[in-house]
Amino acid sequence: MSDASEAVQRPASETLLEQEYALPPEQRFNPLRWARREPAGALGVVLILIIGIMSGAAPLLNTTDPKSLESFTSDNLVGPSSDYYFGTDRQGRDVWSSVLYGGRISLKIGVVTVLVGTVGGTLLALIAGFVGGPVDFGLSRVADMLFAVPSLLLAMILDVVLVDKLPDLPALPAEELARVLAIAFFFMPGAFRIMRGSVLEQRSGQYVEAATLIGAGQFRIMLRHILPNITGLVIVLTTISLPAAILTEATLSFLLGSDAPSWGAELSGDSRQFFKNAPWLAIFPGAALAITVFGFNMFGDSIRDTLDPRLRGRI
Amino acid sequence: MRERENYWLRLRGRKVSRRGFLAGSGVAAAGSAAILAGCGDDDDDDDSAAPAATQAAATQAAAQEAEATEAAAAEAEAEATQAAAAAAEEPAGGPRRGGTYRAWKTQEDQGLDPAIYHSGNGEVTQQVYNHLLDFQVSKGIFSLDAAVGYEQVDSTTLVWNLREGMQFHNGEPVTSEDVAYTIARPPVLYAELGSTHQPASNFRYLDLIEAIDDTHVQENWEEPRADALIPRSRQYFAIVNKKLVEAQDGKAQEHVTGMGAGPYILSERNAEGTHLTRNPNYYSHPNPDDGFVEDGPYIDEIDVRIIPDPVTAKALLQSGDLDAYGSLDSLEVEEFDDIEEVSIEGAPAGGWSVLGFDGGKFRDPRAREAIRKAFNYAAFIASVRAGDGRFQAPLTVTNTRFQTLTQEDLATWYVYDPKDARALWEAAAADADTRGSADEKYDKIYESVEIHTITNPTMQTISDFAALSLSEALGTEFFVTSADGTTWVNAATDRTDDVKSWDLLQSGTGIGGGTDGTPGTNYLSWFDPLQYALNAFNFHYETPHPEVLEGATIVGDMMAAQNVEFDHEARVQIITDLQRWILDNTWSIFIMPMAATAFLGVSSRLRDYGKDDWFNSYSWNNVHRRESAWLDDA
Repeated sequence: MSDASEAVQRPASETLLEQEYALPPEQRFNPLRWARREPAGALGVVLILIIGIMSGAAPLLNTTDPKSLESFTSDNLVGPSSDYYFGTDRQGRDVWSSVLYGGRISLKIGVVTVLVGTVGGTLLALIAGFVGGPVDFGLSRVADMLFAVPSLLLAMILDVVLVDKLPDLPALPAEELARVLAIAFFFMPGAFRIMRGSVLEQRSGQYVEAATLIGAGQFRIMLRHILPNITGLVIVLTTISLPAAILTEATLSFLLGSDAPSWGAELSGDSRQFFKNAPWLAIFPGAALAITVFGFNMFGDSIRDTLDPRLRGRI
Repeated sequence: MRERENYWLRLRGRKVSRRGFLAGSGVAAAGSAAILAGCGDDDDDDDSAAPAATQAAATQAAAQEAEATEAAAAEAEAEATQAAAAAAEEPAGGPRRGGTYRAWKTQEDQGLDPAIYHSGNGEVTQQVYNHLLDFQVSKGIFSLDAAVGYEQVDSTTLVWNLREGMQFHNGEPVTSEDVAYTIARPPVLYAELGSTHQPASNFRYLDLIEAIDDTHVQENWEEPRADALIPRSRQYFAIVNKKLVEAQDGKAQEHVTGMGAGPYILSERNAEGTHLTRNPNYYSHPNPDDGFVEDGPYIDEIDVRIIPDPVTAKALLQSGDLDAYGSLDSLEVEEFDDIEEVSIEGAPAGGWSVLGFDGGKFRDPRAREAIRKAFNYAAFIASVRAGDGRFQAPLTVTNTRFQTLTQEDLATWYVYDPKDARALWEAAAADADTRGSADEKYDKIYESVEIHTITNPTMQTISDFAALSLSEALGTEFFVTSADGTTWVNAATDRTDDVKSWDLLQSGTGIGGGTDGTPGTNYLSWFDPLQYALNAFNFHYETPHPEVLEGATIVGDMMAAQNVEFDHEARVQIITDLQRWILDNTWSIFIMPMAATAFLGVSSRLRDYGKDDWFNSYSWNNVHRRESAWLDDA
């Protein structure tokens, strides 16, 4: 049966119902209107897109793969020029290429980390908040304990310990996977605590009582009723956590190094060594990092305003 | 509605968000910093230009006055600079006594017994203890320290004539018994440590060491040893107080004042570093040369701080808070331009940078030759060495008394030929395929190769380059792992199995370093089946692989032959033949190009510190051994 004939056969009452509950045009999401209302957020999106697209399309943008032998040249510590837009490092490697390829790692680890941390924290919060009792108590105390440990130190230890024990995944080598898990572990207690509060608030809602009265199971209530109602907060939490995750990845790369080019790793080593005569080694990776974090901050702030207008203007 | 939709109207009435506040603060701070930097006074600028220009609009006289003042100031500054330069060249009054020399090291010492090689203890083993001789590699001459003479009675007998009047730091006299005990101690210690400890084979020739009277000690050897004298000037034979060391079961790991009789007393040792104070009872050298001075040492205190981060140490040298940083490469030196407080000295670099083979895995000579031919030497020298590189030989090229191979000679072995390399590698891999799973632990290198290095930017860069070059040429994955120095050493010397946890071991930056003058340890020890080839690289006599045993026997026989050959020309010929064999067979290690020049950064207040031998075993933890050194501002 074709879609057209189905549409023809649909009852008029259903169509009327849809029309009655449909959002008026001015309330539907319109990117241009959103950009006008949230120019800072729109600027953030533009910055993120620029950095993301340039990193993704790095091989097309007059770059040399920093992990190839041809990246090593005799043009050691040459300043920015038409040949080397961002100058070269000690081994004659193009900083422009390092920054673009480094963006891939920084963004990838940042995004995957936040997804893992937020999703993990949210699921645990759902379980703790809804099941309650000893489960809630146990998970909450574990979160409290993790809060008591210096988080960066914990992430560093996890990174070092995990790297030899993890497999290489298709798009995530063991080193990057270890870093993702280390940083996700860093974020999970925070996400858990925030989401648990929200779950507890939703749990006492009348719609949950109604669902319980009509015989819905706990699992169904959790996933079909509570989760959709906290999704807005999950999105806000994700966007607000992203810049912190990217910065944490940069911090770990700065402190522990990285096999693959990464902004944090670019800021250590030669950047510190040659800052006086070759400041471009620190300036360009630092600027890329700052712009990206700034973009995500602005975007996250606007998303929060959009999805939760009650928070507008609060410090 | 319109008002609610308008961002700017809404912004006007809105409170500042936390993120907005932070972002704004950040931008404001960065902007302020940039403005301040832009408006800041530049040393190269005309200090009075802006005010003078402003005043010129009011009165021309004021401008002329400003120009006159500026000219006078510039002239005075030029005179002061010339005077300072003259003072630097010809300090009035000559050497001065006093002052504190400030040095640094990256880690705590791992022990203080001078007879056992430990990292991080050089300033103690070389300055708190004295030695029979001092050997200046740059001049090829011996200076007499605790000895006033020696006689090689025959090929296996050496007699020392000792200086009289020497005292340990606790006032006890240094006796011939102490010296005999000192020389006899290393073989005993290394017998306890086990034969696989790298320097063990250097002491096996020693037999009976006896004090024949109050001022004479006789060494009796089991076989001739052409290299015997130079090691008497090195840490292993630092003279110890027999009574105090025997009280610690023959060990000197925990230093007690009075164990040594050297120019400095160890006055402080903790997690922050070590502090040495001049020994007031140090003996005089009545016949001084430019290393020893009659009334030396001149410097009162030596302070060695532990600074794990070399970049921090470099910054401290730039700011005038350290007295030496060795060694720098040609690019790092540029960071010291225009810093008057620091003098830069260049010298031929003697360092090494190698990839050591795990012998069982690389027992097929075609695999080793493939590595040698798969390394892109020109690109490495151009990029990693910044154009200032040269080939290194099995015996360091800076050991000119024994080195006959020229750069042209070495270039015939170090040829980049990726096509030939791939063919050799694939042929070796094809043979490995036929051996079956029994040899799997050795043959896994044909699937992937792990290069293990120390977590250090320069060494990691060298390893990264090697991995890329070898991967591209051989079509097999070469990947890099790194660890801290202690873990790396443990991985290098672990012999619990006949294969290592790594496949290729990267060692050395190839920048600093030098020679101690002995061929046996510089750097032939890499290949000696009784030294590093035994405890690190599995190229030794106990190997289960016949082809490795055959090579180890050849190298071991030639090493032994040069050790007992007193005729210099004959010995050089043996060493040259040995080097050629090692290069032909890419034996034990693959040697990457080194830096051509190493640079030493020292504070301009340090004088007469023996720069010619700084890289030749004369600086330990950035502390010079020369007692002629003095501080201009003392």
